Amino acid sequence: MPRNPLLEIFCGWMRPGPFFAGLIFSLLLCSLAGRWASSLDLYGDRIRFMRKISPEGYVFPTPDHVMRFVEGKAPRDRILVLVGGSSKMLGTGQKNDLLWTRFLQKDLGPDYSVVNLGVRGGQPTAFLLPMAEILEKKYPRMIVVTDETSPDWLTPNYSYFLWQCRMDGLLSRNPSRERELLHSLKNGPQFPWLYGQELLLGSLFERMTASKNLWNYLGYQYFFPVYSPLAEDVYPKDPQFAARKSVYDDEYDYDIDKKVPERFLSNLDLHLKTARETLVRLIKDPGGKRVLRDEDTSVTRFNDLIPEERDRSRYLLLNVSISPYVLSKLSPVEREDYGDALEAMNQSLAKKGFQAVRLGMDYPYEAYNDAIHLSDDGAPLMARDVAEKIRDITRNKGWSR
Amino acid sequence: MIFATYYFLALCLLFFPVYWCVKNTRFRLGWLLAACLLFQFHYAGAAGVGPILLLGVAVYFLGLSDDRRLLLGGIILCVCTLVFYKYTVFLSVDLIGMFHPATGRLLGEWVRHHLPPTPPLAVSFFAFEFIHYLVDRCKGTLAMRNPLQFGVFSLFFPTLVAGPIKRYEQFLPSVGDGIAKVDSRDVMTGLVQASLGYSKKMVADNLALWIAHSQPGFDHLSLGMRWAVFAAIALRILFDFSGYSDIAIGIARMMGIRVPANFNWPYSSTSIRDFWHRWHISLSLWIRDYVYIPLGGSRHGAFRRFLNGLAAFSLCGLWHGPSWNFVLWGLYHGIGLSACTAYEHVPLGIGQALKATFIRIPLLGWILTLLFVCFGWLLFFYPVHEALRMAELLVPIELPKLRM
Repeated sequence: MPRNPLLEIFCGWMRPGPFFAGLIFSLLLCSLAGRWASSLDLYGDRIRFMRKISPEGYVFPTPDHVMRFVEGKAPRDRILVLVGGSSKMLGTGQKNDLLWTRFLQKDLGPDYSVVNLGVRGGQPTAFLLPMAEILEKKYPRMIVVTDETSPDWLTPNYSYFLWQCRMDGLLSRNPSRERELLHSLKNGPQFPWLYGQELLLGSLFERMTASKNLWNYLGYQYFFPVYSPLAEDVYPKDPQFAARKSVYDDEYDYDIDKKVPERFLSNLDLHLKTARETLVRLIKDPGGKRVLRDEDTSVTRFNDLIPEERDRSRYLLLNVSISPYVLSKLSPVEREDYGDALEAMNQSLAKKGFQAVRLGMDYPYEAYNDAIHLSDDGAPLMARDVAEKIRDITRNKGWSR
Repeated sequence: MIFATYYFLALCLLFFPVYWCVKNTRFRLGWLLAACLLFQFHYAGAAGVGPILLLGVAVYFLGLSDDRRLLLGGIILCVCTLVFYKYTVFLSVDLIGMFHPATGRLLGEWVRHHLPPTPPLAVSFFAFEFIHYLVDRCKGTLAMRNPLQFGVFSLFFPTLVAGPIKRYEQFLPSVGDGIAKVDSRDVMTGLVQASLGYSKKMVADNLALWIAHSQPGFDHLSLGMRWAVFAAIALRILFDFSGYSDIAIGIARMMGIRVPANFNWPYSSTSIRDFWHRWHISLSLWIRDYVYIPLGGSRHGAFRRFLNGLAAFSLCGLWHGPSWNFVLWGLYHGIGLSACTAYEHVPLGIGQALKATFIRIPLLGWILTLLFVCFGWLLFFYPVHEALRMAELLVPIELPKLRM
């Protein structure tokens, strides 16, 4: 029977008693170190969650670390503006210096602290909504800004965060969320990112050991032992296995170099189709006025995600239009209907108690990087429109003059 | 990777303390079988468990018989199950489709509608172990009469995912010994070996990501980086396969059960023959005992030996997956092994001179073997034209075009 002689010699030399004592001691030490690491603001030097420190790059920020990130950027005496959701909110394609949330901070002034929790390919449920719920108690003066989508509680890549918050007892009861979490327990291992049993057990394990906090700390500060193909996919190139803190902390979007209209031509047909699908959301009411369908998924989803007993008036949902260049390819009637659809959406959300604003349709072509993302030129325009609405909300709430 | 899931961790945390604390051997055997069933039900799902349980029950009862026809029927059943679940798409779409594309497409459509998208978990391992049992029964070895023992042999969860392929004459005494005598040294040794396996898997997974990232731009890399990727491909597969085996062997050892090593420093081999004594040992021994020797082995002359080797290695390749890549990789090794055996007989004293050179300078044999094996990995992972293109790019001089 072939054996591994080196292993046999090594284990023959070791004594089991001290080995197990050392093992238990090491595990305890790691757990203590994890708890210590959970108190650190690892990402404090970042202006937003770049994809290299998000699950896309195999870094899984814990609720503790996201909390420290927000607290590090927002003193309690200021009004917290918590921004999050998809890549539109992250500011994909915008340089750090020209990021739209930087302009927003500048527009709003020193009484406000703007924190960007946007993630690529994410939804408001990824980090934003759980964090908003957790931070409500710490920051009574908080505005939550996100883009209008049809989010699910559980989304690929980010579900672990929701499970972790849930198992740490940080979230209040929400029937729609509980339903989705329970349902995800039935998913099989073939859906690893949405595999409830695995995420539940992982969250329990993390709660007991705080191992992910330690893993993130070591990886971020010293050496990330998981190779991320994304690390090289930026300009300038980064080391392949590196401490994540040393990787290039800015956006580089290749479409930025393209002139108008080349930057809008890729997938133009797809985006036109998407724009036309927005029109299907409209129907005529008995008076002949065009309104949003009652069963519109986006409105019903937000209605489920944020229960009525929560203060919905602090949630500002942005209806960011598709690029004006793409809109220019629609017929004049379709263009008008598209605007009506966004407006009707705002009204429907307002009826449910949310704040909503539509923006982007009247911006110049250069304000967009591609069909859906705002460019460096568009960032100050978006910041201006959002800041105006935020000031309205805070004035109405009596938080500012 | 099943071994790196929290469910598996939870299963181990539940299973081991009870296994170690209760010293009754019958209880331990039953507890082990319960854990095996739970593992199979969880990871394979009901659709995956059904066919395996049915096959297992059939093999158990057929194995009790001394009638060679029944035992042969059992072997055919195992082969058919394996071919049906794992190779039907390959046979209908790739093989028949090669000669008659329209029929291949039609069959492919039908198969995709009627077969589950993935074969039952570890169906190849089940089939190979059952075939081994039934063939050995035909040779007159003793039957596994105890259903608990048969269940544990069939469903032993540590080796279910990636081997080693067990032999019941070795495994059952080891289980008996293990459950009676497991001690803290076994647990310690098992933990160390499993940890080693997890570390290897970690390296392998990182290398896999790096290779996937670098390979598409292979021609834009510097010569040094191309060789680094080439080496990474070889290290990745070694660490991946041997990492799995180490975890399996380590977990078995934590139960006191000794499973033979499956890899023994394969890249230190000085010949292809030596390589196959060190690489996936349980598979190569299985292929030798249940394919190569029954086909005639080396008993009927050099040409027949060559053909038998090719057949055995094609099957070895195909075992890794239903794809032409693997068949080609198997054939490549079959030819390599034949050349390795036959070169000594090259006339005019050339063969003997070569043999003497290899004996005098073992480093030469090692380098040639390593290059041969590593180029084989290109065939294993990539389409032929891509493998040849990559091989060309590793040589700094202009070569006559090899591309197909």
